Amino acid sequence: MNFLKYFKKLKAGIIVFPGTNCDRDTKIALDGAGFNTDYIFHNCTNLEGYDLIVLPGGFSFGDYIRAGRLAKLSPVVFALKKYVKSKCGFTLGICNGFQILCEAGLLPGALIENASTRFISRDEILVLEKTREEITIPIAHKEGCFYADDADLRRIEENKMVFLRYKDNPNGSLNDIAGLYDSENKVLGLMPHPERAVSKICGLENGLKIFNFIKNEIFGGKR
Amino acid sequence: MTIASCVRPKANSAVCLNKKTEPSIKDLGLSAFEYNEIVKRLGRKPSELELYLFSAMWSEHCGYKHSKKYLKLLPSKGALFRNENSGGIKIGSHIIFFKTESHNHPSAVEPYQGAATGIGGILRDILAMNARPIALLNSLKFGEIEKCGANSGVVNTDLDSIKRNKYLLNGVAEGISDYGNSTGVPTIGGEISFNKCFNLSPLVNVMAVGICHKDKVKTAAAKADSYIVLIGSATGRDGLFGAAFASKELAGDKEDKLSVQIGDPYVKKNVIEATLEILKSKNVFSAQDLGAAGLLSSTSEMADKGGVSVELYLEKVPLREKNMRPYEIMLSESQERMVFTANKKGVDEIFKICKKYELNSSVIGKTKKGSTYSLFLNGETLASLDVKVLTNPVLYDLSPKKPEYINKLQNKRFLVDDAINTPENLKHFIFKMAAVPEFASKKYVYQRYDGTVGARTLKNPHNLGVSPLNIFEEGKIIGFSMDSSENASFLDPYQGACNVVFEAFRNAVSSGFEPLGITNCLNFANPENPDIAWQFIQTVKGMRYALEKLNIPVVSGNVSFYNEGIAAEQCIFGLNNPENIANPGVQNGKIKIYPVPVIGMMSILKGKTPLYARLQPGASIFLIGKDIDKNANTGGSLYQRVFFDFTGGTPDIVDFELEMKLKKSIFYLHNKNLLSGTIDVSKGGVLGALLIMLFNSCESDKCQTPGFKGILEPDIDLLFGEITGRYLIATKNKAVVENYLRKNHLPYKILGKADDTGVLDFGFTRIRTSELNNIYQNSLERKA
Repeated sequence: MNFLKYFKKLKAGIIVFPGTNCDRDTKIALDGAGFNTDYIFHNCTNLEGYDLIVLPGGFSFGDYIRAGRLAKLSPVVFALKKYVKSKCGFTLGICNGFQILCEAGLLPGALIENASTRFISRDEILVLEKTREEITIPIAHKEGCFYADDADLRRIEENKMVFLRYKDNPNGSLNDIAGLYDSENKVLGLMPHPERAVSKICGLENGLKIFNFIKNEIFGGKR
Repeated sequence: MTIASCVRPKANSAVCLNKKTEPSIKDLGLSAFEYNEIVKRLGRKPSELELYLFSAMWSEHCGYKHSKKYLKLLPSKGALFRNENSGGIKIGSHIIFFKTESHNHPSAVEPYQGAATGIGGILRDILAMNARPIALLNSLKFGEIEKCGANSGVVNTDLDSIKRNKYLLNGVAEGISDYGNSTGVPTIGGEISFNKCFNLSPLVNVMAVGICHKDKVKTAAAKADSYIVLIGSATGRDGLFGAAFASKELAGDKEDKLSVQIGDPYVKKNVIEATLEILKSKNVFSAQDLGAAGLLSSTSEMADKGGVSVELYLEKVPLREKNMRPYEIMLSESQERMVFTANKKGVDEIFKICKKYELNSSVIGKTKKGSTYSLFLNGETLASLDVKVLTNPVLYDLSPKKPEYINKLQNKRFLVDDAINTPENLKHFIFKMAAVPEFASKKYVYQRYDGTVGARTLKNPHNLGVSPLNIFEEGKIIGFSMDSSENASFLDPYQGACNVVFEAFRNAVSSGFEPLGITNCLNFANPENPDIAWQFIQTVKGMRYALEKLNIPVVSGNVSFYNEGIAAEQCIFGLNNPENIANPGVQNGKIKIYPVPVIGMMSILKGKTPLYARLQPGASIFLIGKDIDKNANTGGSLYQRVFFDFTGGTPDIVDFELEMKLKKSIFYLHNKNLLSGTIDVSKGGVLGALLIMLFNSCESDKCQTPGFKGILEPDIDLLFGEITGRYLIATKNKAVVENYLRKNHLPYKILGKADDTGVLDFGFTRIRTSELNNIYQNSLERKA
């Protein structure tokens, strides 16, 4: 099966909730990284056939009650749980998408209000956990402070589930966590926005590294 | 210019909200003359409801009745769709729409919602053209948040006002952050300043930018025999009389709060997506946003522009409150609503799209051949008016008189004596300048705005004179800036307006961008006052001069009058310091704002890369253009006001030939890769510009703190004084650049050289860069 994918473009689906606002940016970035990309509206109940599902940033359902709280009750998130459980493909949540993955229990911990209590938008230096490489990617969030209880945090570190850490922690996240895997390495949540850093003209290209890395993950690291 | 800024019924107009008594003409803000004119044009007396309709459509906010005649003076060649919801400029096969709008009055009363709904309103104007909004900017003006001129012993702003001004600043910033960020439109730039003339009337001017393919633009003009569809939020009583409210002086009554609209960014985001989907259909003919005077102004403009009759059936309008009276339905300014005209097929398409986005949609009327505007309720005719009479208010000539303060203040001179110019004093002032809220970094506010959503922004946008946007559809980079200078405009409205246009021009040039056009927001006090009328006319003339010289148009705009508060009542503003009354901006117990023409300029990148305002170690720094001598006019300079509480003198006069020569040289040198950094010299003078270049370099280059070594003359006016026509340029090819400047007869001065010592050595004093930068970066957060 994997063999075929070498010749076929990978298929990515971007889930769009009412209030999602990074869907178009994410499509441009994924198309640029060589994916064949569709939008999936939040009332969709079947995610079969996708190699990658992306939950983009924004304010799903206005972030009412709290970020991700209403989106997790949406039909597409129930379909996503099935998708993850049956290991159909890889799942990426960016910003609001990360918040939804935590709310839905697909990733451990929670994202709470920034220590400053204010929205923070700036370019942030991040460290890739595996390679120790430093990359600069924009962040833009008000609820981006990663929190988990002691047991979860221990589990996260012991199982090497951290993907990305802040170099200069902007929001009070525990252990400087900016990006996180699930225990199967099939679900990834990122607080920074790699899709906003894929343009040479704009002077920010580090986001491409993340999308290429994810492509490799889908091939099981074989490529 | 379209619906936007201001009406003016008397302070108690909201009284008629709940009482069923017939309103008097005066309560509705119509003069006896205007009433008689209505009777004459209709050939009969208007009904009560019709009178309400006239009160809104003939208000300053909707009708521009005091400004329209004068706005015609401004050049428009090159602007497209200038008479629509928003005008634009063509870039390749796309049109970039941009427009400013004020939301001053609501923000003074309820800063969070006031600023938020200001953004909502300007986004709808862009949206109505079928343009996707791609950026927001803002120009914010508040009263002082710290005591100024402590050195001179004069206290101007009392503690209660300072507290209130901080509350307004934080409320407005939070409102823009919460609302703007949620809509998915990046806030990419703007300006903030503080002055005691804004103690009672803060200014919140917002600008939106949108993009649309040139063949897909939709306008407001309706076709006959189509259906009128209203979508979005249900209509309530919020924002009722908003247009009227914006056209009066604030009295500080509780009723003022009732006139503020409430925004919902989540619904707005859905309205944006739904509108852009709806306007893709060829079965949908026109679109209008519901802003000032809500349903009334939007549908009557559709009728007026399309030359058709409109019939509205009020029982079809979805309401969120019970027992709303017809005039309340017509004048409500409930947010997040749009109207469209469409054929039968288009109506079905609209319903389907609205269902997807969970929005209300309802056919509320029809268009027919003719020119009548009629309202019905359950078959009963409520009003029937000639569209032209309704949408064409009486236009006034202003009766200007040069205010007495002008000569008095212009004749004042700020005297620099040797006692001020001691090295210790100047060092103290350098530290002070870095900390002044007006000069210090605004990152406390702008980091709260999502500046990168949409992925069109460039890296380190704050190190540029303009806020850049990547128009990848055309392979171009365009830039935007918002500028104003209330101090110069107060001392000389003509020169002030001219200087603001050139200030925006220099911002663009210093970043390597060529100006293409402007939008403006003209903020003034009461235009019926001859002094203010004079300020307004001088401003328009000064702006016209500058725009004609530069050969760029005004593509859209907005006028906000009646920005003044009643000092004597002191109600909710806690203004109780008699010192305020001595301020030249105060007349008859009212604090009037200085004249504030705000310019939003669009420009386009000329070369391959923008020019950043940064310094690299080893670069030599040149001051090119004018230099300050004993005869220079530095009136209106920031340092005079914030260090000495001095307002006087005259602003410098623009030398057009020199400005053009400077532009040509900077573009030439940049093209030859000879420049490593450029900045225009504005707030804080030469020293201010130098500091900003150094601090920008610190931010982007954490490993290395830059330093500077040079000889600056120890004179406060030379260091901080502000005049036109000059830039700082940094180069690593000193000899080549110097040779070029000499050959082209450009005045220049070499200030010194950037190094990596981390120390600023000005000759007369030495300061550690990091110490000063720390103050610059964090001052606003500490003070706000």
